[in-house]
Amino acid sequence: MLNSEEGCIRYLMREMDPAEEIEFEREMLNDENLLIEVESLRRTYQKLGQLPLKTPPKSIIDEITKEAVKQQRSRVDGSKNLVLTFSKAVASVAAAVLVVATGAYFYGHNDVNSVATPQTNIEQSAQIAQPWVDRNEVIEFAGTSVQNENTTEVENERIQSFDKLRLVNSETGFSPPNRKVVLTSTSN
Amino acid sequence: MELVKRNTGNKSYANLKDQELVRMFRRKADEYAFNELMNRHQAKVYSYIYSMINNPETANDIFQETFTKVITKMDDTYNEQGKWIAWVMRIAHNATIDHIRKQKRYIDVNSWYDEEGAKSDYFDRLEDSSVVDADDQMVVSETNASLMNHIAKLPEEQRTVVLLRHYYEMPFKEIAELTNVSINTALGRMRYALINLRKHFDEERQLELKHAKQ
Repeated sequence: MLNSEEGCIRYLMREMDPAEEIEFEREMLNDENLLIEVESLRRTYQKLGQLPLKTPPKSIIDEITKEAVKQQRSRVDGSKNLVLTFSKAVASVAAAVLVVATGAYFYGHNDVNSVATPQTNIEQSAQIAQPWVDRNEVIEFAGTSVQNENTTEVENERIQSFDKLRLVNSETGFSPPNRKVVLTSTSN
Repeated sequence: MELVKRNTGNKSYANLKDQELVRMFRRKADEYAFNELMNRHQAKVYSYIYSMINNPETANDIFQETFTKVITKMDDTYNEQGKWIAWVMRIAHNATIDHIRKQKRYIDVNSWYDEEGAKSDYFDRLEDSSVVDADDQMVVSETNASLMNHIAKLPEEQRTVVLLRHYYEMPFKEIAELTNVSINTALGRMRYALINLRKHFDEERQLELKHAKQ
């Protein structure tokens, strides 16, 4: 049940949802006093429709518009100048950073070229390809081969290592222990 | 009085929403966009202030003060997501209430010297001349003048709700937010305003009947 006093005004002002409206209309049908109250308030509210629409004097509107446009133009111009100054500053900083970065890059690049020695290359190669000898005494490599003299030496060494290999009878490489019985005798 | 419409230069401005016009004015200081906004809302804002104050000179001053604040604060305070006119109305409402409270304070101090010793509302103490002045300047019908008079007799809170609802068809949720009260309080004020107005209309009718008999 809706509070009638609150309901009256919410109903008149169309602040109710449809379900509430239906409920309130039912309530009005059952309560004649409520119906009279709502109709009376409705008539009073309708009279407010006669409230006149007043207009401000033209001189005031002119003055307001003039002032508004003047102030807004100065604000827009100010912000444009600010943006321009800021863009110039950013461009200058960017140019300076670019020059410094380019200089540093070229300086660093030349420095690396001049310092690099063959020894360094060997170390680098060694890091890339690490040889080792497996159980069959075969030299194995990991990583990619490096095309330089040291690699060639290692490669030759690897090829020579194949000479040490022996043929194996069994494909599996497994040779069972010899279980032949050797008879020996004494001269008794 | 006929609404003075200002040149908006281009008919397409009439099809734009308030928010778009505000954006154009803010970014390009577009005079036509501002004119269009004024054309749309000036009468409602002015009528609200006028009906609250019931004095044309003061209404002019408050209207101008409102728009001076609007111009100054538009870039800083107004958020383009919200309704522009609701924001303007808040400024107009605050300026109007500030004025009424200042006047009340002045009258309250003077009321100590009142012979009858009864303190009364600003509008209760308004001389009839202010209404007569308004009538002289604005050619309004007798009914309108009487209605304005009845509205002026309402307590400030009730008058605010009635006028915001009438001139802006403002939902009670927005009225409640604007006046810093709950929705139920705003609805209650509307109800009491209508009851008071009904009482004033009845008294007026009784008076008319009495005169007619004599």
